[in-house]
Order: sequence, then structure tokens, then C-alpha cells
Amino acid sequence: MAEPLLRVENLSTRFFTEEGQVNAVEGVSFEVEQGEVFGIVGESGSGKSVTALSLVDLVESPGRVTDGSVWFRKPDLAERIREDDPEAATEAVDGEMVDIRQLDENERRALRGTDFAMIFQDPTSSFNPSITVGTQIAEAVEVQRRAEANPRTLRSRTQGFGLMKFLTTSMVPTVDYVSEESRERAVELLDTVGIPDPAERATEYPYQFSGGMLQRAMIAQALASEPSVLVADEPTTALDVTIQAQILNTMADLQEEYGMTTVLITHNLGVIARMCDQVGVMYAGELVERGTLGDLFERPTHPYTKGLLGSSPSLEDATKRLQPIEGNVPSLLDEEMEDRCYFADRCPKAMEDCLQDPPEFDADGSQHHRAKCYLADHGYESALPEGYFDE
Amino acid sequence: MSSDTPDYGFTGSTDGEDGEVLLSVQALKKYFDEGVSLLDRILGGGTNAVRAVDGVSFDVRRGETLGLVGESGCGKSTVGETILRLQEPTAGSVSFEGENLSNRDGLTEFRRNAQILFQDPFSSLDPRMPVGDSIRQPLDIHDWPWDGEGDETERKQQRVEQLMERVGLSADQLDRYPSEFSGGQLQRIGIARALALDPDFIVLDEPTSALDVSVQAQILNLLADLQSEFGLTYLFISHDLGVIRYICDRIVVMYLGEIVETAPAEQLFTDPQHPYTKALLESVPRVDLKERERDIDPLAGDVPSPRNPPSGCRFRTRCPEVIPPADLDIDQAAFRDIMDVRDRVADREIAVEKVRNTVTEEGGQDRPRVADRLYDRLVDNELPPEEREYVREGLQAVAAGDWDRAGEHLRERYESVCETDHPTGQVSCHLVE
Ligand SMILES: Nc1ncnc2c1ncn2[C@@H]1O[C@H](COP(=O)(O)OP(=O)(O)O)[C@@H](O)[C@H]1O
Ligand code: SF4
Ligand code: SF4
Ligand SMILES: [Mg+2]
Repeated sequence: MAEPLLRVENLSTRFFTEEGQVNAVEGVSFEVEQGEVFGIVGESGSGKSVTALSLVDLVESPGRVTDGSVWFRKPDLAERIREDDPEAATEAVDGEMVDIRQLDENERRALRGTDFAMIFQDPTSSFNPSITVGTQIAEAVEVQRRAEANPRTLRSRTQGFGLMKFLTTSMVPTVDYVSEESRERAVELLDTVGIPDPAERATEYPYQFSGGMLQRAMIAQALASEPSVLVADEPTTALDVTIQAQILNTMADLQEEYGMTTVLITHNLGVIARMCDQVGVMYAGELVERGTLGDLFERPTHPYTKGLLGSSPSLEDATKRLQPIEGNVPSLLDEEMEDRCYFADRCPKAMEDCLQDPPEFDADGSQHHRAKCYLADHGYESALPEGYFDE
Repeated sequence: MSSDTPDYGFTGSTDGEDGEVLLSVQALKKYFDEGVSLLDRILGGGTNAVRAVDGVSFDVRRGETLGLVGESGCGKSTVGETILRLQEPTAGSVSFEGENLSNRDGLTEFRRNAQILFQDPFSSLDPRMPVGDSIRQPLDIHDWPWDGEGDETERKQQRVEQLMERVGLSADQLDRYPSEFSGGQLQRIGIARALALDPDFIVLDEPTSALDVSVQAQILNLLADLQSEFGLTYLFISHDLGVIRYICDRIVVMYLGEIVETAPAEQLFTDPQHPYTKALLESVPRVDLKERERDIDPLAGDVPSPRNPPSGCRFRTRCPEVIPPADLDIDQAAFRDIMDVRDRVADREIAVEKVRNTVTEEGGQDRPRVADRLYDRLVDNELPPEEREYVREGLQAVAAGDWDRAGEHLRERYESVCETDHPTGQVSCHLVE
């Protein structure tokens, strides 16, 4: 089988705050094939957003990616590194894959600006309120054009808004001039994401856009660089369901048209079902289970995955009583985290083994369906004494 | 129910099918005037107040959970708050147990008997007050216990402890402050506080929307248990259709300040009648392996401004079933396009100037060419030749800057019952009459 486009290995991100060290992302590994959508689902504070930021290298102080690799398939770059610096290549290159985290700052920025794009839950933070939407998208196009024409003249600029900041800190010639060509491309992009009368809308300011329309505009801005990987963090969470349906349809169409590889982050299992090929379930900074949509929906192995499914109200059937997960999401403060399965205090199947941190096991004997849970290894043994975790 | 909780009334639950009406809302309106200048009012040209709730009527039956569902900004919370007189209604009436609440005397009693639980558990409790005091507060305000027996302080303390335990927390935690609790725990404390005076009726305004799904399920189950235990009646406000389906007996669907459909829960979900209800249900992504193959035809566009809602049926600007005049033979997609053009003409939302400039730049001048260009920009579907010609004539008037004539020309041929007549009934749509 071909190499995946993206292979994340053992990624860990920590925040060093006054209260102590926060283990926001802990040894996360997953792969995404070219053209597929990998979904990350989990509850708030489980580390989804930080995972997204870690992928595109946007974690800000006091946070830092402390460990792991983000392998990205990029044959020409792999080749170039092998030629330029055979020494570094032994570590940073694996066949056609390049470990983004081991590249030097400039290379990393260039890659981030051209091959990766990110969209956020709140589109207002991605636009400068005093510049027309069309101009801002045209700027993103311009940035991309100049970078392509002249990949070595990279200059960094730190001011910016959301996605523009992402682009501008990535590479960037300051854009004071926007060509007519880029403006036309911006209108095309607005059209692509389903904005009616795009030529007119391009001349409007962000505040003249509704939430749903601005969300589309942000997607247009992200598409400006023709990215090969799109990282979308809760792109429809702030929207009403009818608008969410519009945006998801648009994203699915774009997905099909451009064969874009997407990492989609959401807390909504319905959105996962609608959009994703592969899914990872996140809990307390870890991906506790991953596999195909079918693996997770039909053969969930980790008790947390089962709990999530059991506590989601169904639109089709109102008769089944919801099965909540008892208790609360744990603290991610390093000093409060014990070296055990982080779910053990809420898990109805917790056993003696679970007092040690479980590794990732194959679930159902499948190498693509994996769970960090002893049940995947040897099934249920005997329960812990009742009230074990009560203070 | 155990005998050591004597203070809880128990009315028993009805299935809500045709039970006694506990609360009745009639033609309720709430307009917000901010932003309307005095000049606007003097000129009288339609004061553009926000018509948050615009003539809403429904009954809540004793023991049932009535769901109020709709998208953000459609007026759900304003209905809840106006019912409880946290906001003064602009017009209309609310009666509780048969008594009209505009009569002031009834209001104190009603305030004891009707409670509200808000969405945000972090801002609805005083951060400087131990949670036990927050739960006790309504007892103090309403001079509980009303029978005057026993030691007051002791009885209050007991009551607060009971309530705390009934919602699944420990009485040991009463001295703690809100910051020491999780969102789900705070929502439990909010529930304990709402229950303190043994009310009959509780408005639950998005009570689980700020919570994670696993915790949401805990709270929903708790609310259901409390309802059957204490015979509570709920008005449950939510934008989440899955939650609404799970918890409600009957459902009211709102759109832009009005009710579009009222139906028993099962019926609403299995056989929705109003085009908006259908679209709303269709757009919710299912937690189902086959979800990817399900074809969704999402509603286009956005909800219009409540300052200037459409005439007739408020949903007509987005309705995928908007009704063409009887003598017009046209398919829905084409008619929808024409109606969209008409809306834009009415709002003068067409960039004529810009189109005229590009046409001029290209060396042309004439109106028909501007109209052609507008047509291409505005009409996506293939129209029958006759309609194409007629719409183009309208756009020529637009090109000439005569919006009124354009509007009139298009109205003459395309006026729909959906814009002239306001639909009424359990399902307010002209297709269902
Ligand atoms: N800037 C920051 N400083 C300190 N801690 C942070 C910061 N950003 C995120 N965290 C912590 O990282 C953890 C994961 O957060 P996040 O990735 O936002 O979760 P999710 O997106 O799943 O809701 C949380 O404990 C959060 O408080
Ligand atoms: S490892 Fe043990 S405690 Fe953790 S989820 Fe599996 S069974 Fe439960
Ligand atoms: S009255 Fe007309 S516009 Fe309104 S919902 Fe019915 S068909 Fe649609
Ligand atoms: Mg997040």
C-alpha cells in the first residue's frame, strides 16, 4: 500500500503555565491517506484544538510541541534534503516522507504556507475588519503566487488575523500590491465556496457577512494556497444546523473536487458520520481509539467510545434511555495525572491492570482499528474494589 | 417517594395528550426598540424595532414537557423570559392555572411557582457566594417555610441539604464556591435552586447546550427523573433536535419570531408538515454509518432580519416549496430563482452600478446588455423562454434605475399567496390547510 500523505507519530504538546504543566496532547499517533478525511472527536478540553495547532506548528507560548513527528509525503523536498544534507536526511527523511518537525524554521514556514491550511470555529478572527473580504482573499492568493514564483524570498511578519496570520507568519512578502489577477481569483474562490453574487460580495467588509457566509469566505481564503492538507477545527460548531448543512455540503464537494486531505475536528458525532473516513476519539489528550467509521460506530472497543455513542440522543429513536458517562473530564495538570488509564475513574470496566497506563492495542485483530485499553488485549477480568477512586 | 421529604408536592404526571392546561400563552409579542431613533418614530415609516416574538400562542399542559425549538435568534429565549416576566411583553397575555398574569396580584405567587434554569451555569450563580447560599436564596426571598412550623434556620438547612443530594451532589459541598465545580455540577446546583420552592413549572433555557454530551446525558436523565418524581411541567428550550426529541412530549417550532408548527414529538419527527420543519430535521447530521450517502438539500440563504420580516409567510424567502400563482406553469427551482430575484429587487440589493461600469468599459452602453448581465448573475436555473423574457424586462427597469417599476412588473406576474397572506393554524403554511 502507498504511504499515507500524513503520518503523525507520538505527538505531545505541553503548556507550561503558572499552575503547572498541562499535558494537552499526549503521544498522539494517526495516519491520513491522500484525499481522505480523518476526524478527531472528543469533549471540550480533551486536546483537539491543541492537536490541530500542533499539526500546523502554531502552538504559542507557554505551549510547546515537546515530542513526536509529523511526517508529510513530499517527494521533491525529500529528494532535495537528501542531496543538500545527507546527514540530516537520515533522521528527517523516510522514503518520500519528510518529518516537518525536524525541518529548519524557513523550510517549515514555506511548507506550512503552501501545503497546509487551517480553518477555525470563529471566522471573524480570520479577517481584518477594515479590509474588504475580496481584498483579503486576494492577498492570500498573492502571497501564494509570489511564494511560488520566488520560494527563497521569505520574510516573516507577525501582525495578522487568524488565517492571515497563519499565512503571513508562514512566509511572506508583505502584500501591499494585489494584482487584478489575484482579485479575479478571489472572486472565483468565493464562487467555489457557494457565495451568491461573489463579485459583489468581494467588495464588502466582514461585518456585512452573516456567520455562515463568513465561514465560507474563510474556506475560500484557505483554498487560496491550494493546500494539500486542510486542518479544520470545529468549522461548523458556531452555526445553526441549516447553515451547518450548507457548509458541510460545500466542504464535501470541495473534498471531492480537489482531493484534499482533511483533518476535521469536532465534538459532534453526526458531523463525524457525515464527513469522515477514519476517526480518532480523543480523551484527556490521548487518542484512545482510532479506526474506520465502521470500526468506531459498529465495533467500538474503548469504553469511552461506547460512552460517547451511548450518551448521544438520537434523532431516529427517542425510546432508548441515554447512558451517560458518570463523573467528569479529568484535569490535564501533570501533577494531578496518575500513571494509569486516564478514563479508569469513570470506566464501568476498570480492572487491576488499568492502574497502569495502557499501550495501544489492535482491536478486533485489526491493525487499523486500535484502542488504548486492556479490553482490546485480553477482555474483562475482575473489577476494582468498589469506590476505589473516591477520595 | 420517601416520607422524610414532606415539602415536595406531588401532582402525578399526565401524558400531556389532552391534560389540563397549566400555562396558556396568547398572541404574545415582544419588540425591542433600541436603535430605533425618535425620527424613525415620528416619520412613522414602519418603526424598525426588533420583532423578537411576534404573536405567539400555545398551551403548556400539566405534567408535560413542551419543547420550543428553532435556530439561534428566532425568539425562543425571549418567549421563555417574557412568560416569566423577566421581560415585559409588548402585547399579548399569559395565564397560569387559569389566572391572567397581567393582573399583578397573581405575579408573586406565580414567581414562586415558576422557575427558570439558564444555559450558562458559570454566569447564573453568584461566584462570591457559597453554592449552599445560592440554593437557600429563594427560600429567604419567599419567606419559606410557609407553615411556620419548627426552627426556620434548621428547616432551611435541611431543605438545602436534601435538594443538593437529590440532584446527585453531596451536602458536604454546600460551603464551596462555584469555581470549585464543573459545568455539569453547577447545572445540578442550578436545578436544586430552581426546585427549592417546590414549583410546578420550570422553563429550561438550553440547559445542556454548554455541556459535553456525556454530561448532558446525566442532566437530561436527572431532569426526566425529577419530572416524574415531582410532577413538574417543563418548557424546554433548545436548538438541539436530538435533545428535544429525547425529552419532549410535544414540540413547538419557531422561525423568525413566529410559530410555524406545533405537534406531538413523535409526529413531528416522523411526519413533519411545515417546509421549515422538514428542512430543519433534514439538516441534522445523523450518528449513522449511512449518513454519508444521505442526500441533504440544505436551505439556501440566511434568516432575514427580525427588524424587517417578510410579509405573508416569514419563511417564504427561503422556502423550497414556495407556491407559484395558479396560472403559472413552472418548476419549483425556477420559481425559487425568480422569487430570489424579486427579494433582491425589493431590497435594492443588486449591484447595478458595477455591472453598468463593466459593460461600459467593454464599450457597450445599452440597457438590454446590462439587463442580460444581471440576468446571468442572478438566475441560475433554466427558465421557460416566456419567463426568461419577462424577468429580463424587469431587470431592464433595474438597469434604468427604476426599482419600483421593476418590482411592480415582477409582482404582477409572480405574486405568490405566500407573500400576500399570513398562514395560520397548527401548521402555518398555505400548503397545509
Ligand atoms: N494557551 C493555553 N495555555 C494553557 N493551557 C492551554 C492553552 N490552550 C489550551 N490549553 C489546555 O490544553 C488542554 C486541551 O485544550 P484544547 O485543545 O483546546 O481542547 P479541545 O479543543 O478538545 O476543547 C486544555 O486543558 C486546555 O486548558
Ligand atoms: S484500560 Fe481499563 S479503565 Fe481504561 S478504558 Fe480500558 S477497561 Fe477502562
Ligand atoms: S406558506 Fe408558502 S412560503 Fe410559507 S412555508 Fe408554506 S409554502 Fe413555504
Ligand atoms: Mg476546541
